[in-house]
Amino acid sequence: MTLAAMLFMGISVSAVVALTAWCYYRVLFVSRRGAGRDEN
Amino acid sequence: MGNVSVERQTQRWGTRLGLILAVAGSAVGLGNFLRFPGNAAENGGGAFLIPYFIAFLLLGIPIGWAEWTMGRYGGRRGLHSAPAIIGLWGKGATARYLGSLGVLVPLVVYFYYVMIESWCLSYFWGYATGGIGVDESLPVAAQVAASQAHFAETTGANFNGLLAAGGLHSSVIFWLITFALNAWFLYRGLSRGIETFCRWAIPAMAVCALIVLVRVLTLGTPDPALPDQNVAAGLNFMWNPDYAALGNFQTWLVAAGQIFFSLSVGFGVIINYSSYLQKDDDIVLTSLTASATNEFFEVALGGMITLTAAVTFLGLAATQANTGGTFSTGFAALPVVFARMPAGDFFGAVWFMMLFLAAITSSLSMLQPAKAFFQEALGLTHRGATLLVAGICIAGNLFVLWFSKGLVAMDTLDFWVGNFVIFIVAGIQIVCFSWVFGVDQGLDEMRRGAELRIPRWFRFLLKYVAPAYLLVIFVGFCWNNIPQYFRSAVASGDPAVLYAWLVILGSIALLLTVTAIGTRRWRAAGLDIDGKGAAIRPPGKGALT
Repeated sequence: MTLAAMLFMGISVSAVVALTAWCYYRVLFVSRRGAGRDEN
Repeated sequence: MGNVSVERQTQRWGTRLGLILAVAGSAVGLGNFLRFPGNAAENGGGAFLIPYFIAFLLLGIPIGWAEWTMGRYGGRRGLHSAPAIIGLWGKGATARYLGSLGVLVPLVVYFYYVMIESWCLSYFWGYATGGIGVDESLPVAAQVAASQAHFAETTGANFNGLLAAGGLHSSVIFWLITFALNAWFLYRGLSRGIETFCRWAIPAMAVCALIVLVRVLTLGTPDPALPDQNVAAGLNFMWNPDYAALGNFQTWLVAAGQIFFSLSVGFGVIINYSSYLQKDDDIVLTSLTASATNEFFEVALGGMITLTAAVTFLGLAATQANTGGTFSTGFAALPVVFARMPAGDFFGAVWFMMLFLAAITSSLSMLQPAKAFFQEALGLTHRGATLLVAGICIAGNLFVLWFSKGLVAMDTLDFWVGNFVIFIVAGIQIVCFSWVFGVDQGLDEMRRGAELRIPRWFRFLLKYVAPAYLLVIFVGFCWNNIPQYFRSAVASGDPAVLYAWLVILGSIALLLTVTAIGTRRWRAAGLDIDGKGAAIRPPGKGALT
């Protein structure tokens, strides 16, 4: 596996994992509404 | 229409997380695991991710946010269907009738998508009960041939009239099971059915994918006699960048198309789902979270599993020869991989259960927009609308099931409705949002209750960049595909193409008629369907039902 392949894979996968984790962190722990409440 | 007395739709999402998972479930489908890696490997490998993420930022996120905003705004006015909501944003009858395409897409795509879903269930059952008959001792070419034969048998691709072939074909049984599951969850309703199912199905799908991912990444070099076939070579095949591909327009076109179809924008689902939100519910973070979930499944799981496993067991040449399309990758190449993998039946069962969950969470979302439309436009009860949608879908499914030879009918519906019309619906939506309703008013509505700040440059993005980007990829799609499609359709001479067209035109006629009926009902109920600024009705029981 080339270094470039490793870089592209590492950056791409890390980016989507980080974005997803950040979004769920915001939704679950930071949001003024949180998740799981009966908001409607 | 003097006395309009239909019950206003009072369904609501139970929780925010449930909504996110339901939208993510709609977006995550077979394409995440089967189409994305093939597209990436054929169009620059790792370099493909550059235009892919640019399209995510410039096309996927803004159009998605616009669609969520339109839906929530419509829901506040007691409207839950694409024709009514798009008519509201497009300020008139033209947009409303064009908006009926937003019901056409999920409804007609369901006609064939549930078949693909039932194949996944059939393959899962095959692996769970001892395999699908691909002999591990045969050479790769013979295994691929056996796998293709099994696929043709499962799908009825060898001949038309599967239903009348004598006896009850297994495809029919798995279709009935799949259809019944879909109908049951639709009948259970938005929160108790779709949301409840997605709340456990999405985590279960992630667990299945992680099990397969760990297995694939720990394969090493399974056959010491073939040292070139290993995990690193598989990952390299998928991710090694070919920078020259970035200079090819086709790469940008494929990347934008992949993002566009993967996120389910223009599909008519998000506009309906978000109409069940309340006026101050956040849509910006919620939409981004659902999109991020889709990207996680696509890039972090789909991009790591499928081609890596194929190269490790089949080698580069056989992988390139057998992983060109979604079906060839998922149902021809991967069964050969599982035949060669230790404990392959177990991992095959897990893999196809994961694909089945990905498919059913998508198909469920295709039924709800049509149900909401019939309920709203015809004044049907929840049960009545469910039965009507089920009846129409049974007719559509039987058509696809009957004309199964070469999967021509399915392919025709997929090309025109599952691809071509989606571009049009997305285009109508973004034009209505940014140009007819007004991008500033639209952004004001989007910002209501937002838990993320929308950058100022998104105004420019929504008004100019996203519509232009969409137009370019639509023209590119038509240029690349339509002449070739007509040539092959004429050359095949298969009447199923004509019949599929009749199904599409019949569906359009039905939806336009229902939109006309709905228009009279909505006007009689005093609803502001032309976006002229009438007072917003309070939720709950209203004149409309």
